Order: sequence, then C-alpha cells, then structure tokens
Amino acid sequence: MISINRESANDVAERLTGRRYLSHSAVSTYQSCPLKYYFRYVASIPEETVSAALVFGGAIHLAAETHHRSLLQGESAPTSDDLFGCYQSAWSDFDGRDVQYARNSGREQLDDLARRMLDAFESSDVAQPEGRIIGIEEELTGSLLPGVPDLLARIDLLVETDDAVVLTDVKTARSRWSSDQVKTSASQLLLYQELVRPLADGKPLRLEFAVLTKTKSPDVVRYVVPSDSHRIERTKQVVQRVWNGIQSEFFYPAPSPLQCPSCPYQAECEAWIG
Amino acid sequence: MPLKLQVGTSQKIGQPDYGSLGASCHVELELDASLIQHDLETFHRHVKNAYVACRQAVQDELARGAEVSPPSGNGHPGGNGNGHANGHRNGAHSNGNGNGRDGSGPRKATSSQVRAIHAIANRQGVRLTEELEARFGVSSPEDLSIRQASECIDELKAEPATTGGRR
Repeated sequence: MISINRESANDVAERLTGRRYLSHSAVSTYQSCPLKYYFRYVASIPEETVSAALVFGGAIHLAAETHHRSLLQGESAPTSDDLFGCYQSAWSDFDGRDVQYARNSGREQLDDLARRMLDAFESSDVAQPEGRIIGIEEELTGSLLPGVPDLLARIDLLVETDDAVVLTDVKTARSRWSSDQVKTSASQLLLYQELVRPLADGKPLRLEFAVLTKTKSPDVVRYVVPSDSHRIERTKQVVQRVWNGIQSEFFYPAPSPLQCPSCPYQAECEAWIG
Repeated sequence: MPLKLQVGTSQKIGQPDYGSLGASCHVELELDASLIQHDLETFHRHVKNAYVACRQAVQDELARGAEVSPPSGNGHPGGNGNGHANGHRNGAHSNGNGNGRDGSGPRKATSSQVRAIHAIANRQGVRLTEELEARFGVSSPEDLSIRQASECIDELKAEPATTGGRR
C-alpha cells in the first residue's frame, strides 16, 4: 500500500521556522535579503545588535497604542508625560542590548525628538479618530493563497465609521512620504485588508498610513492607500514567489550599501559559504 | 523590570470535503526579568506551563468545534473550508481567519474590544456576566458580535462607576 503524506504550507512553515504562518515583516525581510531572512527566521540566530531607529519606532508605536487603548476603554487620554513614560518603558526592554545609533545621534537626541513627535501625535486627528475604535494591535491570521502559509497581520488601528472601516498603520519616518513611498509600502495594507474584510460587515475598507515624521517640527500625515484588484493580486503573487523561495530553501546574500551596515548578521554573512 | 513572555500555539485539523477546522491560542504573561539571569528553571517552568495551557485550550476548542461541525463541513458553524474555531483565550490577541468565525453571521468581537469590556467593567464595578446575559443574551464578551461589543463598550462607559460591586 502506498500512503502519501502531504505537508500543508503551514506545516512546511512550521518545520522551517517554528511558526505556522508568514508575516509581512518576514516577506519584506526575504525581499530585502534572503540570507538575512534565513538567519532570522530559519536559523533563529539571536541578533547581537539592534538599531536605535527600530527601538525608537517601536517606542513611539507603544505610546500611540496606549493612547488609543485609553480611548477605547473610556479612560481620560494619557498626558504627554504618560506617553513619554510609555516611550521610555519600551526602551527599557532593550537594557543590556547593544543598541546601534546613527552617526551624530544618541539617546538624548532621540528622547527630545520623541517628546516633540508625541506632542504632534496628540494634537493630530490620528489621536482622535472619527468613529468607533474596534481594534488596536489586533492580530488576525488567515489564508490568502492556496499553497502559501496563513498570513499573520497585526493591525495597528481599526476604526468603524458610518460609511467605512478604516485600517491604519502607524509609521515613523525621516520625512514626509513621497507618493512613490506610499505606493511601495502599500503592499502591507493591501494584504492586511484581505484579512480585515470579513470584520467590516459589508462596509468598504479604507487603508491609511499615519506617518509621524522625525523632523525638527514633527508632522503627522495620513496617506490613503488606493485599493484595486490588480494591485492586490500583484501583491499576492509577490508573496507566492517569496514563499516559493523560502520553501525551496533558496537563501543567498543580497548585499546593499544601505542595508548591510546596520544588519545584525554581518559576521554570519561574512562566514557564509552556502 | 517585568519580562514579557508571549507564547502561543495553533492547530488545524482536516474536515470532510477539503474543509478544515483550526484554533489558535496566544497568551502574554509578565514575569520577573531576573528569572532569565538567576532562575532559568522557574522561567522554563512558566514557559512550559503557558504552552501546556495554550495547547489544552486549542484542543478543547477543536473538540468543541468538531462536535458542532456537520459531516459536510460546509458553511456551518464550527467548520468549513474557511472556518476556524474561536481561539480567544484570556484576552490575548488571537484570531483565526478573519476573527475566528465561519462565513455566516456577524463576526465576533475583536480581542481589543473584549479586553476593553473587561477593563471598563472592572473599573465600573459591573458584574459583567449578568450584564451581558441581561442585555445581549450571552455570558461572555467573546460571544458578542463586533457591533454588539461596540454598543456594550458605549453603554459601560456611560454607566457611573460603583464602589461596592454593583449587580
């Protein structure tokens, strides 16, 4: 008797990475450097360094999350000091880690910047969304394509208005985004909307990035991501190709003068011979 | 300094007619960060216990889903090609295939809403189970629809806080 034991895509993902899903972050990592994906998700090599920009972005993100959670729970909005406290507590998670700062930058400068950014956030309409908040840091998983593992999405903010459900992703950026930047970043929200659609109860979805600029006078700018079926399908096909590469264990370095200097796997990459 | 531990597990089982039934459970705990440096044994015990709890919850949910799933596994609560059993546990962020529901009927409350309902009820001194049963005919916020959960949050927010554990 012949028996066939066919692994599902989720099984393959679990066997390779220990996780039964793909995240947009994992897909992006593979796109930027397949070997970095391998070190992070397959070999699970601990990262010896962490970029200050990453910690900073996460800390601002936590403050925004705390603010929105207070609104949802009917509490008084956190004060500037409360939000700055959230920001600082996020940094404390990295105590003892080797945080890599950009040239001419240090914790003190970043803290000053954070205060200004959080002030800008508090006075922006992103901090007072119209409608009812229905999700904050909401995790959704679901299948987008046959033969590809489930996608895990973490939705920063979901708000239901009278005529739409608004899906917002909060970003920090050096400056305002160009239209090209919105377009290239759109894939994340285009994928996420596929998972959010069942929650919308028939209402149209609106996709937005809320970008907090790390400028001298910080701004909070909302960018609407237009959705059309061609772009959604194209994005899914990219995920499909990335998954094909991952499950074939097709990992190779993709050197980049922009990415490599801050990569935590420089030593492992140098040592890699295939 | 607290140490945030997030663990979780997911499982999907096959159903007739190419359907599947899935459940996931993720929990987030705060531990004493010094465990990592001084007491790895206790740390591992916490991790192990959390995984055991998650796995048990997933198994229970799958078993419950399988009980209500009809043989055809098609378009009914509990299992079809797109339906996951609800994996919510302890207010952790967890969902399966568009919020853990089959394709019919309203979607269940999000984990953010569930967490908010618990937080407001605790703050207001409301006996939540009784309130939910009286108002929505369910015993747990996880069983509310998204719309009901929004209504529930609005109503709870509007209630004056009590000191003696009203209702």
